[in-house]
Amino acid sequence: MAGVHVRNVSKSFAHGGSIVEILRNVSISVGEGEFVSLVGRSGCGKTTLLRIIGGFVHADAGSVLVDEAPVRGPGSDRGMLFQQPMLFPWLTVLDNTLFGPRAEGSFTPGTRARALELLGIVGLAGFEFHYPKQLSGGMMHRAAFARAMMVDPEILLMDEPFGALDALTRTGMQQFLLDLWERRRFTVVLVTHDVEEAVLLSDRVAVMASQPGELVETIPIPLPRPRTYEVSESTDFVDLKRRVRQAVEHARGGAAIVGAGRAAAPY
Amino acid sequence: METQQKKFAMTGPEGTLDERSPAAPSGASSPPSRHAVRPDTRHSALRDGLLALDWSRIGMGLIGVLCIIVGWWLAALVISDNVILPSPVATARTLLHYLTRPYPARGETLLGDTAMSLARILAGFAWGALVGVILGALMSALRPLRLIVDPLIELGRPLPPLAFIPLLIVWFGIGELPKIVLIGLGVIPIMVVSVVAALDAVPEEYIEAARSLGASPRYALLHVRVRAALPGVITGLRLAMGISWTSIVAVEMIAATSGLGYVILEASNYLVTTLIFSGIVLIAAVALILDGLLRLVRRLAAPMG
Ligand SMILES: Nc1ncnc2c1ncn2[C@@H]1O[C@H](COP(=O)(O)OP(=O)(O)O)[C@@H](O)[C@H]1O
Ligand SMILES: [Mg+2]
Repeated sequence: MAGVHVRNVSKSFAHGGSIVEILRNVSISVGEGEFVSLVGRSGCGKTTLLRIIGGFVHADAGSVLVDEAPVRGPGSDRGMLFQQPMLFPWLTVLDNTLFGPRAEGSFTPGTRARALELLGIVGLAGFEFHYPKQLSGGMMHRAAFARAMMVDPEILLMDEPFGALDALTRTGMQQFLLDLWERRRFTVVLVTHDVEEAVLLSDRVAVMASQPGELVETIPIPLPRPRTYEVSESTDFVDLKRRVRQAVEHARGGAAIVGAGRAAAPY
Repeated sequence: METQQKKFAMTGPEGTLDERSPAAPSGASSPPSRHAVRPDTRHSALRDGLLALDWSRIGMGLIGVLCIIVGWWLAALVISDNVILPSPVATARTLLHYLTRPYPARGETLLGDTAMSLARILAGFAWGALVGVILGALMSALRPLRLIVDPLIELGRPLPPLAFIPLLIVWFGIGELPKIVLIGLGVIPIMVVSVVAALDAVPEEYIEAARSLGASPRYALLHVRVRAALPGVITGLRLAMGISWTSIVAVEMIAATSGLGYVILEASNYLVTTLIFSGIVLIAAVALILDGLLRLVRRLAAPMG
């Protein structure tokens, strides 16, 4: 297991002839086995920061250390999960799960058995030979988790992974993630704009301001673990949720949601 | 690995919302039963492809063909002139007769002419598709190349390949070469456009997912980007095959002494209408078979559509 250290990361993009500063001097450390969420209004640079940690975007300045080593590109130590499950439609659920070992060349006689076991754990026993299109949204996400877990990532980077699911399925997936994390204790950086989700899942919630994206506050979530959805009815939970929501709203750029509306968005 | 398995062994699905339960929202959640793959069977792409053939649709298609034949037959009865409109029966008789027997004026069977046209199509289609796929792939990867070639394709696309026949005859004579060149020229722009579109349409997240699963850039390119583009490329091949038939029949009517296009032209010179229809029916049949093969390949490349 490894921690993530983001140090003074800045990033600008060329946007229609001008240069737009997206991230300014962002620093955050996520400890080994810690679950941290990034929240902030749309367009504040959450995805960009996650993609820098993932090694898909290079920071203009600053560095990202994973397990003390600087990130130079993508790697199987950092699993990625997106809003869409991004299963390969031409592969069965089992073959999707086996993609990582095959790509890495780490396929051994025991790999297949491990994949089947993993699919059982995520509740997809009996669906190994189905194609992604034959699964529901939640099942696809669980298959995507199984696929990511097959290469034993130490860190999971998730970009609004449940954002496109209906409320009931989302609740199920949140509980699923809590259970999985409880057993595996991988390091998690979760991007979400769902404050409730951030509080339910995280050890800490990092709040970002926009234009440029800056980290303004990190709020610890000292709710007892292991957690279930019931914790969301406690007064502690409600208080924490209010605190995070206020932090998001008071962060620079947040007021614009109420005031100037969409006009303030960078688009 | 050892400890990993132990950790997983401890984990159970308890607490997860089982979406197969009635509480889960329906709609997208239940797999379409017609395409359902029995979970206990091993996956076989070919069998899945054949199972996915939509027999009821094929049946409806046959009804349409039958209606055309009946209409044709009734019209032939009313007109009752074998030169203007021979009956389907008379056509079938001519077709079957000359399928394997040489036509008196020519010394070639219909089967031989069909094989001739097919060979030209396959040769022209093969080189055109090869060039088109390579050019399209390079254009998708190299932006400057795309900027140079795109306008050329846009300029060339509205021009019917047939406009080039006289030029090709001047350049390459009336042998096989101009015909094969012409077919390829029709295929290239279609393949370039569909290959570029298919590669562009591959979501970047597929590549990122693959890379974070340990794939090298090369592995992700071949096993994800190219693979994901495959169904779109095969659809392009189907369109290109259609254009190939247009080209070959036209060029065989203008500058050939064999092939189905030539048979049709000759038959009209001698007013043997049954033979004209025989040629048309043969073109339709062979084109249908080739398209069916490409559709089967596409089904294998994109299971579940
Ligand atoms: N590759 C890129 N090129 C140009 N602009 C980009 C690129 N990626 C992101 N941006 C811009 O950066 C801003 C932040 O985007 P993003 O990180 O996706 O925000 P969030 O995930 O918080 O909604 C947006 O205004 C977006 O337009
Ligand atoms: Mg985002």
